[in-house]
Amino acid sequence: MKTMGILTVATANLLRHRLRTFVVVICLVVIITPFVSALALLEGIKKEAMISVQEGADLYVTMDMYGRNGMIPMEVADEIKKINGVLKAVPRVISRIYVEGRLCVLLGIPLDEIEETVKIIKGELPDDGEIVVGRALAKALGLEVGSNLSLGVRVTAIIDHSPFIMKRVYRVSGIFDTDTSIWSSDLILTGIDDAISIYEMEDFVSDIAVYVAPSRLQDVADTIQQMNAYFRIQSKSIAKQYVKRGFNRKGGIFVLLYTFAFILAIPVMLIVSGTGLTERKKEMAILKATGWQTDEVLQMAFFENTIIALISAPASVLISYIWLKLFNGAFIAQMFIAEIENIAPFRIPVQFTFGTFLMAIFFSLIFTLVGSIYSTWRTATTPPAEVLR
Amino acid sequence: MSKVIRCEDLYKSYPLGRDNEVVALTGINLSIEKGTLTLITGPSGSGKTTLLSIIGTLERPTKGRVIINDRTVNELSDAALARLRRDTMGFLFQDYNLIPRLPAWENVTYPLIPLGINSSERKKRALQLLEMLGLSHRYTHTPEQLSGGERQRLSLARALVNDPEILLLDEPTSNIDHKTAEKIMQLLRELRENGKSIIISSHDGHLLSEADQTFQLSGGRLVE
Repeated sequence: MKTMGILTVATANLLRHRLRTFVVVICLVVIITPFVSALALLEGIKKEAMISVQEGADLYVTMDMYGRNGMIPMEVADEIKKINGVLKAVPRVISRIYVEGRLCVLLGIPLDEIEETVKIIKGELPDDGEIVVGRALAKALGLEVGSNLSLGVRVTAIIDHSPFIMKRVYRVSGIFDTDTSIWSSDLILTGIDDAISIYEMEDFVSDIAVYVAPSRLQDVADTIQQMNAYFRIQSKSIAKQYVKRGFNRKGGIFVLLYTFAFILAIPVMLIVSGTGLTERKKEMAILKATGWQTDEVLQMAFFENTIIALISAPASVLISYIWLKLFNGAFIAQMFIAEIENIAPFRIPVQFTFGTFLMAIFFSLIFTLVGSIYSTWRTATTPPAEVLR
Repeated sequence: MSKVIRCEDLYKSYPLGRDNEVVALTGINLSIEKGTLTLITGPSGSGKTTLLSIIGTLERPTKGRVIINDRTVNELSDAALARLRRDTMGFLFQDYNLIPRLPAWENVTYPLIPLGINSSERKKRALQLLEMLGLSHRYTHTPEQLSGGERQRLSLARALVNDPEILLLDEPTSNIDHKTAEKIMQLLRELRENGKSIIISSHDGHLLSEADQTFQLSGGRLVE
């Protein structure tokens, strides 16, 4: 009954000091909304990455080069295909390439695999000497079906064997949809032979994606390993772990950085929460004079802050949802997704979780408490006559 | 009659800068019996309000002892002092100290909240007191919407709501007309008859005839 009474007083206080309540809520929303948006973006990107991994191959085979992935002969793909339980072995060339000053991803796979990889919305699948590009990239570079695109190709001089880059023109045979995945926004897709020739890798590929019958995964992995001790085999579960670890680390760093930002914003919060403090102090002294104890006054302040946090957090989540969903995360998505402009040319991945909501409440509460608890405690422990004088 | 309040060699000073201090009370010795009306009188700045605050445990003396119902209150913790105020005292402040923008009846009920009394009972008690003090028609009004006299009566209602054993009233008849002052005095007489100890700080000479005992303060000292 007493707690309910104190809660009622706390609610009445917030209503009586409407302007102060409004200003504190606005400040919290301004601080919490980017935080919630970033968490939702990180979760969205992580989820999409996990789906990509899930939908990808069961095993990825490369050569071990000083403990890292090194290129592997393309012919290994044919040997892997012969292993019992292997459904498909796809050699791939994956690299980063600058196209008209823009960093893109070049993916080379056998031509018959391209149809399964992307959804062509304009034009047709590529043939030798042709490429397909994503809608976002096509728009950015002003490409249409039939346009020509110059790519820098590595060449070794016949006379002195010195390497150099020369431009080779590729015809854009088709444009694929990029709304489905952020990974395809800057993707250039071509046949494996063209990709190999661009990098002059002479029958070497970046990796071989192996698709395996469900019960044969371990046997196939063991057999591939027995083929060559220097093969480096990464399973789907390892890839998932890498993705999770990477995103958790990113999320952790972000929360840490934001915590510092929070700390820097505390003086602002102190000023804001100090608005009307003289009147608040007097009211608390009146309560103390009429028999309220320090812990009861502090409990009232805690309830006030909790109510403010419970208003601010959902408001922040709602504004963040509108920002990310309706405005596609304009001006914030670029901080988390590389190589995009202020407004992303594709639908950004967003995932609001219950954890995000709890974090919003937690940080709102911490913020309001830090901003008000000291002054409340000081007032509550000062003799009432001193405050009322 | 038993002594409800005793002050022994009470001093109170306030620091003023690094080396100076203002002495508000010096060597106050007094005792107040249960069920009496005590008047503390004196000119402005003589220390009446300070003495009332110290007796009401709103602040601690610099030196000396305050004994209420045989307990030396100087030695009590802040929490114990708050309990003592909640259970045994009611205050009427000179400048009312009402909570702004809060309806009159809610202002009256706030001292009851720590006692765990439910909201309907709180409201019932508040309305009874407002009725008794002629403020029932103003129960939803905020202090800003009340006149000085009405605020004074509202403040008195709040002082009475927890049925205190000791009533401390700072200038209870100032800012009100003679008729209202007489009504309040009638109420105080009834309370005294019911065994309440009433301590009034006032420079209103009319109250002298009502008081069972009077203490005159001058320059922070009791004048014989």
